[in-house]
Amino acid sequence: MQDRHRCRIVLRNRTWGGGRRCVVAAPRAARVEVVSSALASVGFRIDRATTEAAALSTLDRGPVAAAFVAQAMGPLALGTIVARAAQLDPEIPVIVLGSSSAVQDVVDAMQHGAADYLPLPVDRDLLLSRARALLDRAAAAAGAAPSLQPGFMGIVGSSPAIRRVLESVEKISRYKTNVLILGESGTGKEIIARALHAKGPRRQHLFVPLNCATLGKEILENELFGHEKGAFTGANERKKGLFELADGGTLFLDEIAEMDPGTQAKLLRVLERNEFRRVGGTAKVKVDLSVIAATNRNLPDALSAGKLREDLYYRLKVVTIALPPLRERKEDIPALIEAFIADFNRRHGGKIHGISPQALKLIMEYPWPGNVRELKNAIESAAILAGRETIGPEAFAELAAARHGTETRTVPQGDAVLLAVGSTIADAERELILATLRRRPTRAEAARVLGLGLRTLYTKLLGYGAETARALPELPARRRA
Amino acid sequence: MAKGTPRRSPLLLVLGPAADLDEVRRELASFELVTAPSTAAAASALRASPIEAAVVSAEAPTAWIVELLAAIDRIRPGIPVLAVRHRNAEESPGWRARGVGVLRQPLLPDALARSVSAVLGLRT
Repeated sequence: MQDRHRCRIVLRNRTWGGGRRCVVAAPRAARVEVVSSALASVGFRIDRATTEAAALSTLDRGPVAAAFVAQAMGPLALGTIVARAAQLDPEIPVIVLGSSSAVQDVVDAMQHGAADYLPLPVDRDLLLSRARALLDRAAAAAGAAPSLQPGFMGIVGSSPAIRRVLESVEKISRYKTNVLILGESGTGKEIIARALHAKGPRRQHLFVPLNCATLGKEILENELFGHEKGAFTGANERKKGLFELADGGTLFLDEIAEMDPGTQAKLLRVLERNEFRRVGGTAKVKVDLSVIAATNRNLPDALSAGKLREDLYYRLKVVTIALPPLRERKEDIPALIEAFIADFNRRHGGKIHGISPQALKLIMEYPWPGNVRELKNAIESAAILAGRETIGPEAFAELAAARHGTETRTVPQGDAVLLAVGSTIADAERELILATLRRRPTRAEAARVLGLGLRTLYTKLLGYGAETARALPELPARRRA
Repeated sequence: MAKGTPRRSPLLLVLGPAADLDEVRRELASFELVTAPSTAAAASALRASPIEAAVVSAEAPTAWIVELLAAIDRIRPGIPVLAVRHRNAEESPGWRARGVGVLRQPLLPDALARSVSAVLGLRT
């Protein structure tokens, strides 16, 4: 009776859709016209998608009120669409348009994160009343404060950049989805992967990390898929691989772009079918796990160079978290330092209270190319060497030198030239020549010390340009170029 | 139903060992529940109350599901059964046809409650 009452309300108010968008994703042959027309009749704008890729790109185009996904799209597509919608807005309800009224089909859809299930063909009024109930619930839940706060799983900082990462972790972790984490070395990709696992439904099972760059193709496949007895010389017994070890849980594959393309193809099959064969085996092994992959590579470059297969990339990138480098979240540095010092004191029984303002200034001015990992190492080294409770600027003298080095590439120190790691041979030569010129009374003397002919030295100086020449006040003006 | 009387929430039977029932109760807090720590108690509850669906907890032995299905056939045929099972737990091939939905652990948050709502929604 209540449903009929609700239906009458729905029918009376023909504009409650308010021009909001709904995605209707179903194969071309699916009979979903009644869904589209019912939603359009109450003021929704309908974006029809007939493939998983089209549905994802429709979701990405802007705010969506709800997504209706035909079960005929397949479980992989359903899981993917639910996860992408959740990353955009966790309150977007995804309603499955079922192929049957079987209880197991309903349960399967709910296990993929669907909000409701309506078997096709669906009654127009029932569809609208259920959609409205879900949207009302979503509106009530919108704006709720995030439960994941800085500090969770060692994620330190409160900058907008790190808050966005935490929001993504919170939204995505509700689902059993595969995730791609991007970020420079040292930005904390594994910490985020562990946070996704710890916050998610797989937390009672194992988190298994593997760095793909450290193993050759055969060893990596053996590690991932395991092997059957007799698969190769020395395979004296069956060995379970990491996919089986992580069954129910999460497999974290770091540096995925370093994985051999043939192994990537096998990984893709596991992601799409949830099954694989052990090395040397014929039987299929079924698994249920999430794969979190990470890379520090520039992905367009990795794709064009063939380091990362496009099909694997498109399967993994559905849900992506990009981690900011430390230089883009410098406001988090004081909190990170505090956390690292506390960690050092706890592990080593230290009594370090903090760092001096001068030391903090040096740290804040340094660009931290090695990101949080480099900062942590620097703080630990300074803490070990500190002779008092406050770490002073002398502990970070190398940072000042290196920072200056990144701007001018080198810093002359007495008779030495300090080169920043990452300098080219040409940079090194230039800095050695300029430093020598500063310390020798004449160019002829500098050329002799450098082991160059005078003409060669002039040629090189001209190549360095007028700015360099101006930096050498002892050079006669007529020789500056 | 009298006009203005709030509709009661659906009545569910939850079958499982006593130690396993608290978690299911928490998950299904928005439903009215009758808990049964044995199949005999479940059969009594089916007779005594207008049960609309049954939920079996993860630790309930498989044999309990078989006995529950037999009791449902006798007492309240047609009501759906949702069985939470461990990831690799056995599943009888006939269950699906009998209206059993198996939720394999690990479950998504609220997956059991959403499943119950959606399954009951099939009957509206």
